[in-house]
Amino acid sequence: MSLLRVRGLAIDYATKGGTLHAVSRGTLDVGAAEVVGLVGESGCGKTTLARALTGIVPRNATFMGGEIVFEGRDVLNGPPDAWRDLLWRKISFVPQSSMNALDPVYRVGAQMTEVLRLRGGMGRAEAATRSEELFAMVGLDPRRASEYPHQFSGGMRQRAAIAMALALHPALVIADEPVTALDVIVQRQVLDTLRDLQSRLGVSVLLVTHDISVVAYVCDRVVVMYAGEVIESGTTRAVLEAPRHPYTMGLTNAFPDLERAGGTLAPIAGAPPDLRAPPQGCRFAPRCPFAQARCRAETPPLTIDADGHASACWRSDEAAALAENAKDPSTWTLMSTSAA
Amino acid sequence: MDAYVHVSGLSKTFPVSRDIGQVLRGERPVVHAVRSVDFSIAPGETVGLLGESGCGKTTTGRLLLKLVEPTEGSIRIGDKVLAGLSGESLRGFRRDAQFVFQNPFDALNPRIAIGRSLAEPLINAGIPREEHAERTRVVLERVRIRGTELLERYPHEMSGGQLQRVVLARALILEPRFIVADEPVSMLDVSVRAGILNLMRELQDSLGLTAIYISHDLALVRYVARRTLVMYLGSLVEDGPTEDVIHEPLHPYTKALIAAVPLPRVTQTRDPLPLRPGTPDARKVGKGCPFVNRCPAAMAVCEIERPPLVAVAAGRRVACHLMPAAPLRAAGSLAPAAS
Repeated sequence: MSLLRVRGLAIDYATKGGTLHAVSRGTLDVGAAEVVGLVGESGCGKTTLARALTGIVPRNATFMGGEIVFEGRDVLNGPPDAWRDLLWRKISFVPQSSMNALDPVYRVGAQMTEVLRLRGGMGRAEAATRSEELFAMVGLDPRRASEYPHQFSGGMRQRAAIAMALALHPALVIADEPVTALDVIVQRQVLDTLRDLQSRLGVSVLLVTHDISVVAYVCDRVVVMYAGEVIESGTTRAVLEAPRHPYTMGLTNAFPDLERAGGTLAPIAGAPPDLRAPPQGCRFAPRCPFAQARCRAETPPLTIDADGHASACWRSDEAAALAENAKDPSTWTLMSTSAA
Repeated sequence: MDAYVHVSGLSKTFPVSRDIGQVLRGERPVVHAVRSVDFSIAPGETVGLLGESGCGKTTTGRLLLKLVEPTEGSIRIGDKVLAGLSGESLRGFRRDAQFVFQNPFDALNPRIAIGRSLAEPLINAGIPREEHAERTRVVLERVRIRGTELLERYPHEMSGGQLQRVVLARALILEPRFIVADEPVSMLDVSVRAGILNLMRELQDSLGLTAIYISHDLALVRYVARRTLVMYLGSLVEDGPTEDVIHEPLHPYTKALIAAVPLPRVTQTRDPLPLRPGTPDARKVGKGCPFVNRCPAAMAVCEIERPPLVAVAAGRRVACHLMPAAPLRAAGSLAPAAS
């Protein structure tokens, strides 16, 4: 049984321009002690989906349906207090910018002990000891606990945010772009720390990122989102090496690989749809070089094969041939001349 | 071959905040954003300037366009020595050299339509009004924007990819010969980024632009620049053909940087980085090598003497005491074999 099971999650935002369907078909699983990447481009709904798992959504957001089952309990359709009770203790969150995670006017150590005392019910002394442990665990000098967030570098702040997320032994850590603002060396060091702690503590991690390289480096499984929908998921190897959805194929092509020589990057023509009025049928069809009449009329369901590799594409039976075709940049260029 | 851009002994310091003791003693502490940097760029060449945040790469770019004044050193671009420019000669330089900004969402005035944003450089440069339409048409074609309906739109009505094309168009509309592009795709999504990068490659070739491409991302630098300069805490530590720098980095910092880049595939090395624990801090660089506190191969000499950037092979320079002058002799014998 998976630790977290999300099915058909739908979240709308009320905006000035009308209702925006930020997440329409949010379906994913996170197993015990597993690192799952949630990948997609800006505006695809990955952050909305990930944040929704904590029950904390912006004021203008509404849950429109679906289920969020954590440890066998449907928290979305259960009592709100039960969900809130899971926060920090069972589910914790590392936000996108660690500057936002830490309050600038309080010492870093004080913010840590606050979590331990208020949410963990620890006494002052116990919280102080645990706080020191946590600092050391993420590679921070415990003596710096008395400093303010601005005295920390970006990497140190991100380490502090990770330490805080791990403070009360949660089962699931949701990390929203935890390394995006960091330099490449620091990014690598923070990812190594995260992965090391994850395997030592047996915690599950849902890592939200736009960076396929980060997914490839740390994730066991990956879930790909496009225009508010989950369009592919499976083991990192299966999704990156044998993608079934043309969007995933396009995304892997557009990504430079330092070890692969030269070549031309192929952009995906066009732009993601306006989620206030998403297109009928497959939402990727207007940009897809392989789209057929059916794709523009009917929404393809997310179907899962025996290996647990899921994709939402009418042509997933031909995936191997399409993927071969997709490697040729001209497949995508031809599109761009007709659709740009 | 005469260099188009020639930079020598370039330094830039910025004052940093003082504590009360320093104020009383009348000290004015500074941070060296750029420290005795020397390089040249051939006409039509695109060079990548690679480094982490705070390494001085953006300051270098701004110095090259005379947006800030150097503390020391000189810059020559084309036939113009920047220090001496003023009045008409400065205006001429401003037409020939352009900056492509990092964040397309910030680079354009949100309250004026795209067409007006594009016309502004033309007005500033005193281009006759009757030429504006034709210039705009040509430049939109260059950046692959079709039709003119977009000229009436405002920035918030456009996607990031479209906006970055407009930013590029705005930099190109005066037909410059030299471009400084500062992380031009870092704000864009992957699927869109590739289109802008391809466009930049095409434009370099078709317009014969001399360009410097500033980025923290080696994979992107590699895509647009055949030669790469690596900066660390204000100093140039390595200079060479991009492919050589990637496959055979010579400076210990470059080695760590390349080892740290994650690859978009499952099979990749996850070995510890060749680094000693330590943090880069531009304010704490002493008289030795700026990388000494993190370098796994640091020696006594590295603490006390800053290694100069010296040629170690054909087209390759490195600032490291581990790469002594000895290979310099080999450089001469390598040159014919390499060409």
